[in-house]
Amino acid sequence: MSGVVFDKVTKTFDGVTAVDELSLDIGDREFMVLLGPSGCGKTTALRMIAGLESITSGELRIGQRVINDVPASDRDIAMVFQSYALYPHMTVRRNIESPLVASRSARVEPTERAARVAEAAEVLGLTDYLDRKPGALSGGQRQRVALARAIVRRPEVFLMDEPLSNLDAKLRTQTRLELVDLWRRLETTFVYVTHDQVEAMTMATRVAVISGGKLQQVGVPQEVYDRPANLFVATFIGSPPMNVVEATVDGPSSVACPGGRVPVGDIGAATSGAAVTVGIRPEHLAIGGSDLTATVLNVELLGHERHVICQVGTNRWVVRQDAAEAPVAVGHDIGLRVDPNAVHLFDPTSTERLN
Amino acid sequence: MAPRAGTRRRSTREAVVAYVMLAPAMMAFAVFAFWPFYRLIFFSLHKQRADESLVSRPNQLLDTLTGKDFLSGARTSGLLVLYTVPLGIILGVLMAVAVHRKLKGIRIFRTVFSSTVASSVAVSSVVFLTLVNPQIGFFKHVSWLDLTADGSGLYRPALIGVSLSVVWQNLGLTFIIVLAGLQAIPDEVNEAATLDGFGPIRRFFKITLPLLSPTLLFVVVVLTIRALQVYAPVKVLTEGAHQTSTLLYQITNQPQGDYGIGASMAIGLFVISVVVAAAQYGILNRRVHYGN
Repeated sequence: MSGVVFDKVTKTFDGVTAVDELSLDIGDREFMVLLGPSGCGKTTALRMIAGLESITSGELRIGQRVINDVPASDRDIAMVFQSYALYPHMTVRRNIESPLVASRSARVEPTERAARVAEAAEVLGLTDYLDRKPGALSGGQRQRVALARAIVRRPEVFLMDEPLSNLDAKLRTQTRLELVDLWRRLETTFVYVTHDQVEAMTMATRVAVISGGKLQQVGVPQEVYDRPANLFVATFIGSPPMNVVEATVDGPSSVACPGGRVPVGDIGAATSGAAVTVGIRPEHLAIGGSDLTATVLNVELLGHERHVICQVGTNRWVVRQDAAEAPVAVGHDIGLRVDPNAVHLFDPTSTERLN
Repeated sequence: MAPRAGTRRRSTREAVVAYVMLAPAMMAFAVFAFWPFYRLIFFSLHKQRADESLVSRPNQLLDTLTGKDFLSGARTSGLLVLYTVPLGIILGVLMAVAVHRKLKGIRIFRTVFSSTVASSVAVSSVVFLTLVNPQIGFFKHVSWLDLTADGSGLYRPALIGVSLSVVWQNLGLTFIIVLAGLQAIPDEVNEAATLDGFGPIRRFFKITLPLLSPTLLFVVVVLTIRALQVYAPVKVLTEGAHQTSTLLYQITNQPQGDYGIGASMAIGLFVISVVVAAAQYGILNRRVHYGN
């Protein structure tokens, strides 16, 4: 069992930088989620751990071992692909046992192999399907076969590339639980790539947010949500996304913006008179108050809560409202109250966090 | 019951539309396939006299198909299949595998390898003839490549020469089809196999080849049928001498004016092609993995 360390790892494809000096320390037995929009370099980072992409510069280690030049099959990792990448001409049993047959380092005696396949199939509920071909299985079952093939070799590190994206919403929720359960049971390191913030928030012990090939922030999910390091992280994580407005600091505890004044508990490094970008999450706005005035454009009912979309100054904001609260009418002007301790300030030029 | 009547009316109308749309293809088939085939059967059962009048000859078809000329042509064609199909497949697969990778300038090789598709059989046969010419040919020092030598049993040197020409002419087609088959195999499957620990050679035999098997079955059938229909290389390279007279060459090599024997042999060739193709599908299909 061991962690994975990226030390200023860079990957360029024909002059295009996909991963830019990534330094990231993934701890032993950690469930690390690499989160970012498509094309941000997260999958390339994962494929470098797997050995499917070469490393342009920097150093990549698994445990104490530098693996830059170690062939993929000798890295003691297992990977679950987005498309599952099962062998369609082999039965489920032969798919699962293939690492134990093919790999020199993972090869085991036939009796041991049969026992391990049976165990993996048992864990993932595939015992009844061992003699079928992948073509005869549902999407969820194929995904389990891919997982079984990964766990059967008992690798140091599990790599997963958007393994849930081909499942329907219900199955995805269920599989999320099962993955976390599997991680607890195996007590090994998971590196999981996704663009879905819900997967990141619900499963990760830590999240690494990546954009444009660069690491934006790494931390436990709640910390990344509560104290985003920059404007990208702030707007990428959270649904509906954080409301953002350009404003000017007009005192030690408030900023002026189109639509009113926002009280700020701590302006941090921002100075009076400076231009800032203000971010407020929808749940930190409440209807009824006089901090800001807004016009209701639409109300989206979700059952347990409502999303009130309103015009604040020149911006369109979302206010999250509990279903028990009094509803507001579309077209009406309302006042908004801001939770001063939940206001985020960012530098408009560098987009870094100020408070 | 109104809806049912409506359904029937609608399905009749759909059938009419379908036949109207099929009409051009049906006409083409009628003119270029069905009618000639009917004439073939007709001629195979008649003999044409010098004054172009026809006499019925019901036994001609069977007599021809059991005759010396047809059987020797069939043997030669069978041997040509044996010489060309396995070699053609192996070379085509090797070439496709060689260029199925991301390298700079690989397109040049792809174009060169597939170029024989774009050259006519007659032209490439003449080129091959020049290559093996005993005075000026590039292969003049290759002693076993002799288009004027006779052999015995399964060994027929002149036919081997013809076969090499055929293999070369078909190689572009095989290459293109196999390359397309390789490209249809998802990269992720190969990557998964790499991570599982399969080396390049075992990966090829355990993963690539089984996934390529539907493509290979298709290529085997196409190459076999093309080998059974070889004519131009024989005409250009040997004119049927030195045990190279294939079925199609025999068919065209009948006395002028009497189509009866040739027509009978053509029916024989047709039957052989159908039986061989059906047998290949029947036997090989059980070993083919179509995935999902």
